[in-house]
Amino acid sequence: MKDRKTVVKVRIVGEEHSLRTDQSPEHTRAVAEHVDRTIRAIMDAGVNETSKAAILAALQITDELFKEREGAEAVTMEIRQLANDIRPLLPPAKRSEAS
Amino acid sequence: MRPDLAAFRELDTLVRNLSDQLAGYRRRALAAESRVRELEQGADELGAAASRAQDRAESVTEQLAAAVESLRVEREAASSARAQLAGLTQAVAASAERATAAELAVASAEQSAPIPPAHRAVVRENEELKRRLDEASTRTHELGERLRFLRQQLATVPEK
Repeated sequence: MKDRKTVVKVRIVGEEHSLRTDQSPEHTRAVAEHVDRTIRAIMDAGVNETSKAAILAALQITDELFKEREGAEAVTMEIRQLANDIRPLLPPAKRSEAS
Repeated sequence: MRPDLAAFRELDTLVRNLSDQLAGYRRRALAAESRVRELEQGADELGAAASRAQDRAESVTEQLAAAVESLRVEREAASSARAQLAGLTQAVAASAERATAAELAVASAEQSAPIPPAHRAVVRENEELKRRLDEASTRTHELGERLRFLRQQLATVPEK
């Protein structure tokens, strides 16, 4: 965790927000741009209310997050399996403990 | 720490250890190959040395066979010479008795009359027998020396 927090001004669907965060400004702007693009895409698809579009955007982004987590878990399992395959090839002193 | 990062770091450590292990195996394999080459070279040299030794042994064997054959011939000659010498010795002994008797007769006759022709013949025969005896002794001595030389030669020939 970083020691100093910074304030980053971002604009989402025309509204300016000041975000106080310990992440880098570049990261914070990239996150805001992603949220802005997602909301605008939903509004372009026919949802006129900003609040409703924001909720749908939040659902869509959360769906992406969950899918990415599942993908990461699958990759983690693959990596662990690969480690378990390699471990018997090494002498006992060089086999680290499975996490 | 995120689970995937932890798993990845674990895998990274294992792969590095495996890499070190393979490097060790590679070094040992190279050293073993080098040792095999040295042994093969040594075996070739040993084979060449064995071939040379075999050639030398065959040559020595041939020399030994020739020496044994020569020794056999010399031994037969010596045996024949010994038999001749024994005969000559007996003849000389008999002649010596006759010569002694003749000398006594000659000495007796010289006091009264000249040596008769029969006595002269006995004296000449005696001298001839003495000469043959000397020759046979010399020949026997030579054969004995030759025999001794051949035995020394056989004793110095290395075994196969």
